[in-house]
Amino acid sequence: MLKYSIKRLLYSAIILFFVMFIIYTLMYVMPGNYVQTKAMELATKPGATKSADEWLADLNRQYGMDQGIISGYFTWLKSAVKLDFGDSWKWNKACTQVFSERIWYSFALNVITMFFQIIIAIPLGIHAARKQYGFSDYFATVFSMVCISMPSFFLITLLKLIFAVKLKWFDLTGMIDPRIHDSLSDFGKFLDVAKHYVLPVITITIISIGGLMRYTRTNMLEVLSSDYIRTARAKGVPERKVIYSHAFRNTLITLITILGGSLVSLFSGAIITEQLFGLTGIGQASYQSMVVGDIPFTMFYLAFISLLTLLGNLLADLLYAAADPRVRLA
Amino acid sequence: MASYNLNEILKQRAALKKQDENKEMDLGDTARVKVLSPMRQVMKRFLRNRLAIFGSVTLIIMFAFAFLGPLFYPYGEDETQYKYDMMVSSYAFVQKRIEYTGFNLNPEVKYNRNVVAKTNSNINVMEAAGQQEMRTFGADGMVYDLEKLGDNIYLLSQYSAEKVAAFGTVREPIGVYKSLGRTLDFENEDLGEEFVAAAAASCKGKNGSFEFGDATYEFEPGKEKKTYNIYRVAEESFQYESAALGEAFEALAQAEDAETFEFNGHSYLNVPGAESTEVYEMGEKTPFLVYSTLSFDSYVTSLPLTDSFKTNALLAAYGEGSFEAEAILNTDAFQAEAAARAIAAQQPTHVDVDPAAEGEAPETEAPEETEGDEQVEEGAVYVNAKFTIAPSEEREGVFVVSTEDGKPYAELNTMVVRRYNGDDTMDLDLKHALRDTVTEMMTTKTQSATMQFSIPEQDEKGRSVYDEEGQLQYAESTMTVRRQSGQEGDNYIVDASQRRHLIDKFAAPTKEHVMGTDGDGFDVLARIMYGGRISLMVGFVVVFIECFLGIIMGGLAGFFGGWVDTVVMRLVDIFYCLPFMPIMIIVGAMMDASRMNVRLRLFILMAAMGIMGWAYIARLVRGQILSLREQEFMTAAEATGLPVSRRIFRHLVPNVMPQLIVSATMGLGSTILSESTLSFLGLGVKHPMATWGSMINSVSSAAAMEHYAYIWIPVGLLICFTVIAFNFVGDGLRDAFDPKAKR
Repeated sequence: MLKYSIKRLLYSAIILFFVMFIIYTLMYVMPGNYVQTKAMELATKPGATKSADEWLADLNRQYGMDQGIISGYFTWLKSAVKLDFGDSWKWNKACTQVFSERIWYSFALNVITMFFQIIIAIPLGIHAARKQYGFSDYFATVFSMVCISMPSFFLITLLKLIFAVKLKWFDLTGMIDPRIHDSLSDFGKFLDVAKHYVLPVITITIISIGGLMRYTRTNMLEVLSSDYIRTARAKGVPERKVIYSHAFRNTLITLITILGGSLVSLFSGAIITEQLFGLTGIGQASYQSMVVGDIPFTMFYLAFISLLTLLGNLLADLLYAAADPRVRLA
Repeated sequence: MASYNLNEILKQRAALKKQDENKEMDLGDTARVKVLSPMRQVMKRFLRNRLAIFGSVTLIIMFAFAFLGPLFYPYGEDETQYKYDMMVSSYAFVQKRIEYTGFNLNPEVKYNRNVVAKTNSNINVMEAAGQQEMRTFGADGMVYDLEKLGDNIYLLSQYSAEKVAAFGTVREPIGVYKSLGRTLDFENEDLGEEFVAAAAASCKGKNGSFEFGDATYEFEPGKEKKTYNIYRVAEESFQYESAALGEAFEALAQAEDAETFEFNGHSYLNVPGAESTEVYEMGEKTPFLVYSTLSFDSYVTSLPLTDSFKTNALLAAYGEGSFEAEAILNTDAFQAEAAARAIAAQQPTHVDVDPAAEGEAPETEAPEETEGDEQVEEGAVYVNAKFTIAPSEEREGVFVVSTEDGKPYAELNTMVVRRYNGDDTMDLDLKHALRDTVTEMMTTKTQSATMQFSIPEQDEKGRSVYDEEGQLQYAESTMTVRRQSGQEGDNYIVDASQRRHLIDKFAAPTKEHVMGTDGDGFDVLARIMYGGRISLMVGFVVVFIECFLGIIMGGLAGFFGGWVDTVVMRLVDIFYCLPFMPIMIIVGAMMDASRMNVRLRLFILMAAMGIMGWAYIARLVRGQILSLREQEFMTAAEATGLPVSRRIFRHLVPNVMPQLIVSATMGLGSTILSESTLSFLGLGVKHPMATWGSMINSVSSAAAMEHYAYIWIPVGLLICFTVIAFNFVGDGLRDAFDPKAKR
């Protein structure tokens, strides 16, 4: 197990190395005048701490943009392993500082969403599997398909129209209500922020619910058709017990695998939802950085996301082996 | 087989079949079991799936809508829609001219700008005093005469003047006395020590006079301190600047009221001063500017008048009454050309946005060709012609210029009527009507008045609208004239409410535009159709690229195994790990920055999406091939000695097809979803190309969201339905291909 984990970790590191190389190439081929213009813009912004030449020099020093692509990549790698990602152009701060300021907003959003996702999707999936080809199965299938097919921006616009414009229950965008936020008590402030989280949570829950529901249903169906379920039913175990202690516990193995793997993605942020709802999470920061060509922060964010993906896969595999003794790791 | 008769055989067969049906079959009869081909089995299972049927029907409708719809729908993807609408705008202004404008008679004359700049105030002084003439001395040594030719017309002339003499009490400079050194610098002749002493004795204080000899001398403080200029005062004397001209000249000069006089063929000018009168010899008088408050209105709208025409007309107004000037006489040709130009200017926006059509502009030449040969040669050219000018019989203070054959050609008027932007593009009839209204307002001192008049229709840019024959399109308009006090007297602003040809922006749904129009005046329903085309096309192209790359890579990896497999699968791992959305956003932002052509951008977008997404196909193909190649039929294929490419692409790939089709169908849905998201963010397909995502984006701002819900909700539902349909069909296909497979 340990040997396997170490092997996988090393292997992930190699993958990450090449992934980052591709991303670095993408940044490297960014039109030169574009980078220059961005640096100029940056230097003329109010509160700019560096001149355009300084920004470019910083970029070259840290990202090796003036060198050949290979040596440039190693220049970046050298500072990246020291966790030095330079200053973000868009945010005018160290990338890691922007990250630490914003990550918890995204984390909170994803944790809440995951909670709702689990408590809605898994029971629905089980229910659908119990009555295969029944009405509730059709309903669940169609519902999950609608959720999967729903463009997030369309859902967000719809929610905004209904709850923010028509009913005026929530604000259109933002994390806080700027008119009253400062006058609130600490608990009031918390509630204010929580209120602004409602629509984003609904959005992400609806969009991600479909996949988990389908997954639960499929696994449940598989388990329900296995011999020991038939045996349990034959010997007169109540249906409730068959479903929840025999079948569901076995389904749980694969579910844990999936959910465990997505634990790391709790940190990844939701780019479009955060941007459209104005949540100051890591997703919004990365979107705005990417759009304005903020190379340092974009590189940082992509490296972070890629690392998360690899860790997630590794974690899923390890959990699978841990939860199901039949699986042997080699 | 000589007696082979198809008819009979068919009859026999039918009879046999009937027998078969009637015959009771026993249980073991193999004919009892209907055997379907694998393809038909799949078909049957697919058709049994209600959701898959729903998906297929939705897709068929969607394709018909997106690809066939535009064939029957009258409007294009980026065809601007126009409408007529009543609109009140400042159409014209009327102003009673007070300021005089100079028309240059003789451009070669150099004049003093200060004198000319004062002309208007000088004219005011003359009018107040009722003077007919005013003389000004310029700093350039020239004399300027301003003459009144008649009401509203003044003539400014210039001549040189050289001082020849002065009479009266003349002061002749003697010299400068310096009280510090008690010296006197004489100007001409030295008057001796005694004079210096006399001057020293009296030159004290400010100014004064002293007697010396039989003459009186005056002194005044000089330029420097403690110096005095000394003059000899000669009363009733006549002093020449140079040679004396004799008694007769003096008599003429000193005659009473002799402002100017002739002597020996020269003209002389008396300029009376406080004590003495100076006599100047006058040079040749050249009139060079004619001033007038009159403005010119030609009978033919917008006909340009030459400067010589204007000046000659003004000079002749109170004089001979006739003049010669260069002017366009062939006014019909001028009108035709103006109309042709106007139509040509309108063409590009009306017909096509394609720049190629603009370059050709065939319509520009067409009207000229129809003119006929002899008229084309003449055209609207300037010719020398004779005109007569006379006061109008109908209107006061108005002059009418007529051509030789008595046709009225232009009108002079102190009331200026122009379009609000200063252009002179109005009919004379309209000008007359406006003038009459304003005159009445001035006399009754009312603040506003309304009138009806038919004026040319305007398009969205405020230009006149012509029909195909180059005729202006008129429409009745209600005009409101309101008074507005300005610096140069009162302005009268004419507001016209008129039917204008406008871009039909943000129109609500009507019969012609079922879904209304968007912010560029494009028909929304047409754009939804074309947007569907692009979305579906992007989906298919991207999935094709994915499959192409995926089959090759996966096929190679699966078939060869070993190091090929390792390399390909590591590549697959790398591409799996690349975050799709962030990278597409970066690519989109980069394409934004390089201001790429819309079409090229679409290709790059599709290529990028295809390259980012091939990994899952490759993994699927490899997995399938790994299991397939161990099966007997592959051993058989190898044993027959088939070449590798044939074994891969004829034996393995067709067996992967079912799985591939399922994945590709699902992939289509998710590709459409990604494309619309990117377009929504403004990083995908760009205007003027329509896509569903960008159409939602254009009306999703907080302000537009509610008002244009009828646009974005149907479009969003279309995206939803298309993706759902692809997913249902994919699901249905998977179940049909392999009913036992895990969903």
